[in-house]
Amino acid sequence: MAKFDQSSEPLLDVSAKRAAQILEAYGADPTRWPFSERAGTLAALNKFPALANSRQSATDMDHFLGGVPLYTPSADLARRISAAALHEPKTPAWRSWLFDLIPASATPMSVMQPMATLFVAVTLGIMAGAFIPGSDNDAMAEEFMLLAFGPAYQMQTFEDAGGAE
Amino acid sequence: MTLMATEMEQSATPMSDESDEALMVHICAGERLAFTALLDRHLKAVAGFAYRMLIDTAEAEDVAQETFLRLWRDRQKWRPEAKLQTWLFRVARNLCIDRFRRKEVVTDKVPEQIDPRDGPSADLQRSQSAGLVNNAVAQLPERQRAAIALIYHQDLSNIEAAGILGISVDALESLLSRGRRHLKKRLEALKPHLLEN
Repeated sequence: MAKFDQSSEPLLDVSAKRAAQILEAYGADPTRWPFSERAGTLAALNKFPALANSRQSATDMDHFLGGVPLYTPSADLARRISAAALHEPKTPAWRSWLFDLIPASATPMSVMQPMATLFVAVTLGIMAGAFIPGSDNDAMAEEFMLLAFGPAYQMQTFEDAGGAE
Repeated sequence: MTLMATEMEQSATPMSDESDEALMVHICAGERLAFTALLDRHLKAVAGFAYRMLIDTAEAEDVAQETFLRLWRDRQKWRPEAKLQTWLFRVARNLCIDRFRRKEVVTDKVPEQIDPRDGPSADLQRSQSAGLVNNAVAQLPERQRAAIALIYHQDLSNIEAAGILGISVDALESLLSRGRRHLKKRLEALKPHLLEN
């Protein structure tokens, strides 16, 4: 824990109420107090004797919490984790290439939204192509012939169809 | 890999002196030595935090292992602007919450019973006190327990702890105050036992 040097800390004016809040939340050790309010809280403790009870109560609680045993991981935990990492499957080259295309600043939404939009557009395009009615080639051909050969063509087709009777 | 390790050893800056950001650059490139250096630096804190949350050594080490394996597995997705310590504690906390939800961990452990035939050795007394304290902490709601673990046992600043929990500093202080008030009530109830020990 960092040493607390009161002379180098900023001195913010801390009220008795705020000092009590700090004691209740962070305890009696100044190194745990919010950095900008440390010196001010100490000054408030000196200034307001009524805070002595709050300080003692915080100290008792700190002793209680200090009773939680220190935890040290097993000696071989780091080795086990390193070994497990060694056996992790390597990322396939195609996935690496795909991830390289995505900017480092991209969020999942900034990737998914354009992909979803592209997917919808492609789907709609395929559906539109499937349902657009085919052009009437026969009618177009007829018009072309009329345009090219005039009424004589029209008469010929009329007679062919048995219209001369 | 051995040759790469030799080259690294001969490089100007040993891995242990590099910043977290620099180590992450090496890890993203797949360098396992950098991963080992990161483990050496942060494993105890992460495992310790998981222990405070779960009050179970085996579960805590599982959480620590999974946290670091996720870092290694997803290293290609690492964003340079992210803060490693915040990421590690957040992932560890989420893994602890998963275990609570799956009820893999019994959170209300009963302290060891005293055998009257045993003399009141100092070690036994300390162990019993620690058991009572652990039991009291284990009764706290998860968020209060996490707040106290980060501020009190991991010595993080209020801003760092609030960032890990994803809350404002005011909300953090509220959690700390409520947690300490709950513990104070338990302290009052346990005082005779603690005074005996």
